[in-house]
Amino acid sequence: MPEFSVQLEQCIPALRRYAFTLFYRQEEADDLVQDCLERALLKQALWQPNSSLRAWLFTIQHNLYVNQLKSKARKPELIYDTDSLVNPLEPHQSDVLMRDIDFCLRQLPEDQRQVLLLVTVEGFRYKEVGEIMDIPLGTVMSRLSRARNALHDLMNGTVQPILREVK
Amino acid sequence: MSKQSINIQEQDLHAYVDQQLSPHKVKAVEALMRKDPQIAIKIHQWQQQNKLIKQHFSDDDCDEMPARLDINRFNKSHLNRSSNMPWYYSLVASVLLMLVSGVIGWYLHDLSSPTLKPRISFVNSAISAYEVFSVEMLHPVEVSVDKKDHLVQWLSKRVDHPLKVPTLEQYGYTLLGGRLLAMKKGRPAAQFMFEDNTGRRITLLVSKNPTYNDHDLLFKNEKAVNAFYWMNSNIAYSVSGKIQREELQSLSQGIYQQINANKTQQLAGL
Repeated sequence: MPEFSVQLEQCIPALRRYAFTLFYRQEEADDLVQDCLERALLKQALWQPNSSLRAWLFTIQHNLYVNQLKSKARKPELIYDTDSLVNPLEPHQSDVLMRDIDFCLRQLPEDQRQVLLLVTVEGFRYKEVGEIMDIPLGTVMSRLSRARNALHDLMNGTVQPILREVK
Repeated sequence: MSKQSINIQEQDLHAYVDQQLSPHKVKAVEALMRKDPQIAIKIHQWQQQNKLIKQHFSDDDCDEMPARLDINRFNKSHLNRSSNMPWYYSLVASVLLMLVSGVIGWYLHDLSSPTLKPRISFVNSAISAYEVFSVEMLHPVEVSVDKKDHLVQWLSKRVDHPLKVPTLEQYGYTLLGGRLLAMKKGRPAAQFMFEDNTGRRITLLVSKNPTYNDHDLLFKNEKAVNAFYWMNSNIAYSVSGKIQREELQSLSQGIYQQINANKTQQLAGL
């Protein structure tokens, strides 16, 4: 079993990747990751070595994020350019002009996006996602289902994204 | 159809897609897909989504790891905390360190070119941009005030900072509109132009730059153009105009206060 800090270090890219999607700003994402790492180092005695360190770190980071939201009241606003709409991805694979996946993910409600990314990108089990976000398994599944349907509609243009026309 | 002994629910379809389904159900889902094309399509769509999302995040490398996330750097200080050293040792040490670095920082403050250079370059650009565009009769702005919301959103996006346009009616100035400009190294900047009823114009230039350090309102004069400028959390502002220094100063103070309306800090040094 590698040393705690070695394992911790291996998790940093995933923590950053996920944190970025909470803010869509690298600076703020890294602030969160830094807080998470500091906390993890302070509380390392609480981690049970036979459990998943990654899941434990994501739980810490999620809690820090939730607390930060409570204290902040409002989140940074995202503004999009209509340019991002005309960015077909793999158009040869489909007759439909697909919208950019990144753009569509950003349009999802945050709680749905969180679940979807923890499952698909970070590869967590549904149960682990429930533990990280402190929600019941049924909620994980319903958010996942809504996320996938909403994403499908967004990608295929059946739903207009919440978007203000900008030059 | 009635042979289907295992009851498959929607959550099993998700679990199938995410490879979290128990093996005995995998076969049942696959049988269902052969029987029900609708389900097969849905599963295929979700698998495609997963593929796109994974692809996106594997391409999308984060920026280079910043030094502040290097745990070897702060690991030691944390480990020390749990060592046998009395707690006040580390407290005393950090206070001393703060004092020493504060003193060093104080002396280095104005010597370090990274802080001094960008601000001078910024205000020079602001003055040049004023001179170029304030004399334009036909096209003083790129987007005029009748599309104000549009203008602010567009420029906020390009500058990568939520911009606030001050209202200067109480000073006799109205907004004409704004334009996007490129600073040195191609950094985007937003220029807003205001005009009074005699045709005098002032501009507000806003640009983001991580090397901008906070400082108070500063003044610069270049031929007939006066400019006040300040920097706040990596955002630089300059108010330029061919008007008296006193008038420009009260305008700048007004703009500063409106931009920082939600902050309590007062304009220092004025």
